[in-house]
Amino acid sequence: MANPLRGEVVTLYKNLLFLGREYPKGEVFFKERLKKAFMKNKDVSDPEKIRELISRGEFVIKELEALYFLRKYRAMKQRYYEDGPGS
Amino acid sequence: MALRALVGVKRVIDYAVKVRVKPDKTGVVTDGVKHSMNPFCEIAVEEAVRLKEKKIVGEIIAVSCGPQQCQETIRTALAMGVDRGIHVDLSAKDAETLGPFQVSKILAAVAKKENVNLVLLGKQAIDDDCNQTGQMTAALLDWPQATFASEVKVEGEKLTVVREVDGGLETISMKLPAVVTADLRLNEPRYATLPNIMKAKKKKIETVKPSDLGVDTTSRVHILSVEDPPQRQAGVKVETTEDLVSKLKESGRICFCSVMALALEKNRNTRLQFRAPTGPPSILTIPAIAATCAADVRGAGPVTFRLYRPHHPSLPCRTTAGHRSRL
Repeated sequence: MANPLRGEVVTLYKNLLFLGREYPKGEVFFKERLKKAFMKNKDVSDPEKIRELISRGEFVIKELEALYFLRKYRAMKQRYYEDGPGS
Repeated sequence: MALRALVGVKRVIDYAVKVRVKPDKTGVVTDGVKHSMNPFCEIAVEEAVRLKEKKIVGEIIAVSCGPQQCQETIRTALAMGVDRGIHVDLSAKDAETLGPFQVSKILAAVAKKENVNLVLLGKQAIDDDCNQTGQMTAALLDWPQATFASEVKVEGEKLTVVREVDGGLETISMKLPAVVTADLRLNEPRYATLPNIMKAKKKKIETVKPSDLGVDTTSRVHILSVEDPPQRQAGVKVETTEDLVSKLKESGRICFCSVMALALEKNRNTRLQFRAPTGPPSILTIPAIAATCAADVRGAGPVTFRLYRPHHPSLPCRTTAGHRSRL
């Protein structure tokens, strides 16, 4: 039970939850999927495998940040610049 | 010498929220609506943080004017890497009437008090779209300004800024201290992550009153009414080309010429003798006429065109009865 990586997993989950608050399809949508993804791997006990999964979660964080940035950038560009989307 | 930078951050209604006008037309609904930092202020904060990472800037101070909730916005700036915050506390009622002039007076007072050399602001806020605060701050401080910056370089006491101007870029050089306002392409702001927000809670936010800064925040602008932009009309579905043509004619969206072009669409190679208000007649295919009509003769006067029969090359351009149409 007392897995040394537990803390890391919990932090990852918290960080993802925080990011999910801004998800375009809504927080509820994101939360459901997030929980499902974590529950799917709840029986994994191999530390190597857990580390791998954590790094995947961190990759998702990076992707989400990029998604939010692009979304905002495009919205601004559309509203304030005449040349339309894309650069 | 490390510089001291001041960044202005504004708390605005989140860009993704659909803004609603209050029924009494005095403003927009702000209660229970998600707020966040103005995207252009984020860019200004990011630029200050990047300059700090390059060791050009020593300390960054974020200022926000408004009600208590503005501290959240300052907190976001702190999470992005700002060192400390100053919250200029105003009651919700005062904050509503706060305009660019009052804010620039506050910013100028803070800049003097904190002895900064660089003021970084967003070019405009997405709620009032004033685009005045940076310019007025520079005027009040009597400092040089670089607005719409898309690149900022500091070399000793000099600042080189690339500005986005109409149809191109302008590079200007100025002495510090200066005011810079950020345009969209200056940088890509980082995301304020949860751990960073937690760490930012240890950073200090000082609360001051405008009166402590010797600034009078009474507004000289009176808002008469705030209204929604005109609603877009619903579209209609049409079954046939004829329907479409008649509908378009009804609404006056297209000229006779394009109607004819549409009607003859089945035979795109039919050619017409086309005479624009100016210039000699020319023989064109229908799509070409449609393009010409759209392009340059609209509103210039009557146009005539006749059906051109190419089957009798010996005859000098036999035509049907001419149609006149005003574009």
